[in-house]
Amino acid sequence: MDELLEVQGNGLVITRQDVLERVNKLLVEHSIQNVMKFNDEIDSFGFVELIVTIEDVFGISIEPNELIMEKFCNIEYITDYLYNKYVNSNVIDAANYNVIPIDFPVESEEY
Amino acid sequence: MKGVTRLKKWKMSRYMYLHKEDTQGVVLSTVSGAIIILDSYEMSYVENFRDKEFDSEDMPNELFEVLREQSFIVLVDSDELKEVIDAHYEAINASDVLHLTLFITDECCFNCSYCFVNKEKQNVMTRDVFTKVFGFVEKHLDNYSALDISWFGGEPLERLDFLIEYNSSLRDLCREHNKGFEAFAVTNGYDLTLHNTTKLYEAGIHSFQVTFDGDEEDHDKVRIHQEGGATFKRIFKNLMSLRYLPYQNLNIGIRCNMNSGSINSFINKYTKFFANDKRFSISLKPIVNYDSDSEKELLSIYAGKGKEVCDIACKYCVLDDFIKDKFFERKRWCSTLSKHSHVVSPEGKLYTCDSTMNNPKYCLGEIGSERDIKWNETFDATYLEHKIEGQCLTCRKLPLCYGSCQRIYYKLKKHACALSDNDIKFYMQYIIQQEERDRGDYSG
Repeated sequence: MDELLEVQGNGLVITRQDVLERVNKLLVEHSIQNVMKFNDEIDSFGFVELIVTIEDVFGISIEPNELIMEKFCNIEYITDYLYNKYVNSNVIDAANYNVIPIDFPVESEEY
Repeated sequence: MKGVTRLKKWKMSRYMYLHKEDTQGVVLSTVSGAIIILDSYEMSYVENFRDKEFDSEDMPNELFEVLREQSFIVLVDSDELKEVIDAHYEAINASDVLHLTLFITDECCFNCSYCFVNKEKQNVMTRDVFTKVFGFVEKHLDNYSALDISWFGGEPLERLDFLIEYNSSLRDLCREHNKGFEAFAVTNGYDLTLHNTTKLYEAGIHSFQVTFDGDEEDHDKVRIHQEGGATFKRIFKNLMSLRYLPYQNLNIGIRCNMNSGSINSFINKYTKFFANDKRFSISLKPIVNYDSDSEKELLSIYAGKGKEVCDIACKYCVLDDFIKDKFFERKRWCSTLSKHSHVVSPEGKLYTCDSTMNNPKYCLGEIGSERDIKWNETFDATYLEHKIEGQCLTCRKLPLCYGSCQRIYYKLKKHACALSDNDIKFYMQYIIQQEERDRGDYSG
């Protein structure tokens, strides 16, 4: 069972499953077929475009020195990275960035 | 030599600002741009000697040497005003660098409400025109150590192929002549994609400036696509993707216009994604309507922004460098008056500055067939008469401002101050706070 996460400030509740589903949707939008290993499906430019879309949607900055293509071409790795960032730094700041997609299963008056 | 120096009489520079806070103070030399934080003991010397002649032995040797090297202390018989004005005119008349601002096209995919470029013209710098520009550079390059190009428009990336071709030609010419070369492009950022930036970087354009009007909501009201669409998201995502380029010399200057009410929100977002990447920088600039008939508006367009800027900067460290740059040593306000800087329209005509491209009255001439400038005889040469006069002669800010914008001076015969004394005070206060913050004892 996914751990429920109460994010400070916004009262948002996000689960790892939520993150996984949203990442999956983004990968599909980028025409990724094999979400578990898509190194061969994407060139470096396409990869950066995908990562930037993920950063934009989740409102999370991925450190360039942490961005290793081999690792990030895997939905589970991306999901863990994003989810851990939420947990460790409370980086969701929807009021400021308005980038958390509204199809997230969360409610907040600040949207 | 040092002994001889110490026998002379000294005074504190007239071009100095001093700001005190509890146990420390900060001094600024508007000549050297140096900012020094002093403790109360050191401050007492600076204050005591403010209006007196003194010997070097009258203050601790180390303090004396630091203050002298940074132009806070000058010889009693030195004429600082003359030195500042002489250096200013020398910077206008002589230069080691040839600078060209090239308008590659009037075309732009944006329809910004305040844009001064006449997009109805839709001119593009053809190869014939560029050949003239190239010939001019080729003929005169040996007089300089480097060529500095600013690509402007319209939107330069509307003509990406020409931009790459022309810039590569100029870069290669400089390589052949063993000259330095730097190129910079002012772009709306809409097409500054990873692909395009890579191509431009490889062609020798390493620096870019992109403008925002606050956060997404405000920006999209003003900087609209010609076809009516929003532009913020795409530009911001383009810039986010550039962080992953490996180019160490890439330089992205992000300019946020100060008219927006959502600067804080924008800088918050900028901080999140770009604060850790030193290749990115941010500045806050006013929008200037040089065609305004309001004297008050024109004369007050630059000064008086210090408090607003510092209030924002206190919240975001990303503006530290922008504030420090306010005091960066300079010998002129802009390149308009320089005899070694030219603004070239897509048709190959020369204008006084990038803001005057719509008005034939400001056309200086064109590059002629002999690869030299053919001057326009109808141009009002009084435009280039630049006088430091009136209040400027007694102003401590003269070495930062030099009477500021020549276009405004030509129109009003008055100088628009670049900074007020209050601005300087706010910036100095900010610098002290920043030092405390960086030392870890900032509790504000």
